[in-house]
Amino acid sequence: LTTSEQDERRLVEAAQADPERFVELYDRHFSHVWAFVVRRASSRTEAEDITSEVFRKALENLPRYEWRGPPFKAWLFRIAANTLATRWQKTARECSDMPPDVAEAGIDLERHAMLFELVHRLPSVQRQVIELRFIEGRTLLEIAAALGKSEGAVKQLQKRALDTLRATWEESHA
Amino acid sequence: MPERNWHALETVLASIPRSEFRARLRNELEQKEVTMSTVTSASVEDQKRAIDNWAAHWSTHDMDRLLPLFTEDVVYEDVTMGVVNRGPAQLRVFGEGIFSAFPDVTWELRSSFANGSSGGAEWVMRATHKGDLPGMPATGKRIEVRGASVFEFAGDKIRRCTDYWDMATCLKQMDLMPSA
Repeated sequence: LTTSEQDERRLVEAAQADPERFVELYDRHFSHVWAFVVRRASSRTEAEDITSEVFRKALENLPRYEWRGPPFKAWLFRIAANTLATRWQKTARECSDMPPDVAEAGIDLERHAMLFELVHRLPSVQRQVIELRFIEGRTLLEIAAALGKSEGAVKQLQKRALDTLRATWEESHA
Repeated sequence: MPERNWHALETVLASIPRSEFRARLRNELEQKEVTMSTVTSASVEDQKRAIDNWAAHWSTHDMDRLLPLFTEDVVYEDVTMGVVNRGPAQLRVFGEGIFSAFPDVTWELRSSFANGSSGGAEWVMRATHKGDLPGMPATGKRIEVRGASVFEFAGDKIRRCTDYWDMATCLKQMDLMPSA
C-alpha cells in the first residue's frame, strides 16, 4: 500500500469506529463525487440531490464497508452509479432519454475534481466572484453590486482567481 | 492560454458545485452523526409502525396514545392551515380542535415509507363538518380529501411532522367554492 492508501484506510477505519470522522472522508472525496455526478445528471438540482444521496448512503452503509483493495472513492462511485441508474429507470418510463454513462471515468474526472477542489480553496471573496460569474452568469457590474464592491475591484478578484485556476488547468493539460 | 483550453476551463467552471451546497451537505452529515450516535437505534420497521399508529390513533381520536409517538420537542405543522404546533401540549389542543369540528374524522393510509431518519405517508381524510371553524360555521357536509405528511424521526419517535392536504377539494365539498 502507498502512504496515501494507508492514510485513506486509516481514515475509513476511524470513521467506521466513530461516525463523527465521516466528514473527513466527505471533505476528501466531495469533489470527485461531484465531478462524477454532475456530468451525468440532467441538471444542477439533480446533481445536488444525487450527490447528497451518495454521501447519506455512504454514511449509513459505512459499518458494512470492507476494504478489498480498490480506493474508497471507487465505492462512492459505485453508489453514485447505482443511484443514477435507479433515477434513470424511474424517469425512463416518462421520457426516452438515454441512460447516463456510468462506467466511463478517468483523466477528465480527475482534472475536473482537481479544479473543483481548487475553486473551493480560493480565498472566499474570489470564490464568490467565480460562482456568481460562472454558475449564475452574472456580469461584473452585477457582481460588484451583489458584493458591495467597485467593478474594478471585482475585475481584479476575478483575474487573480482565474490566473490561479488557469495555471493549474494548463499544467493538467501538459 | 489556447482558446480551446480556455473554452474547456470555462465549461468546467460552469459546473463547479455551489460552496453553499457543499457546506450545507457537510453540516447535514454532521447532524446525522449526532442522530446516529445519540439516538436509539430504531429500525425502519419501528418507524413504519409509528406511521401506522399515527394514522390509527388520529382516527380513533386517542390523544393519550397519539402523543407518545412524538418527541417532547416535536414540531407539528399543518401547512395548509398555516398552523405550527410546538410540543405535545400544543398538539393536544390542535387535535381536540379538529375532533370538535369533525367528530367522525378518520385517516386512511394509502402508502408510507421510512428510511431510518425520515419518512412519508399519503392518506385520505374522511369526515363530516359538524363543528364551527374560525370563520367557517358548520356546514354538515361530508368531506373526503387527499393529503400527505412528511416525518422526521429521532429513533422511533416523530420529531417533526408536516401535513399538506387538498383544501380546494375540501371547500368544494363544503359548497364553499364553485366546483368547476
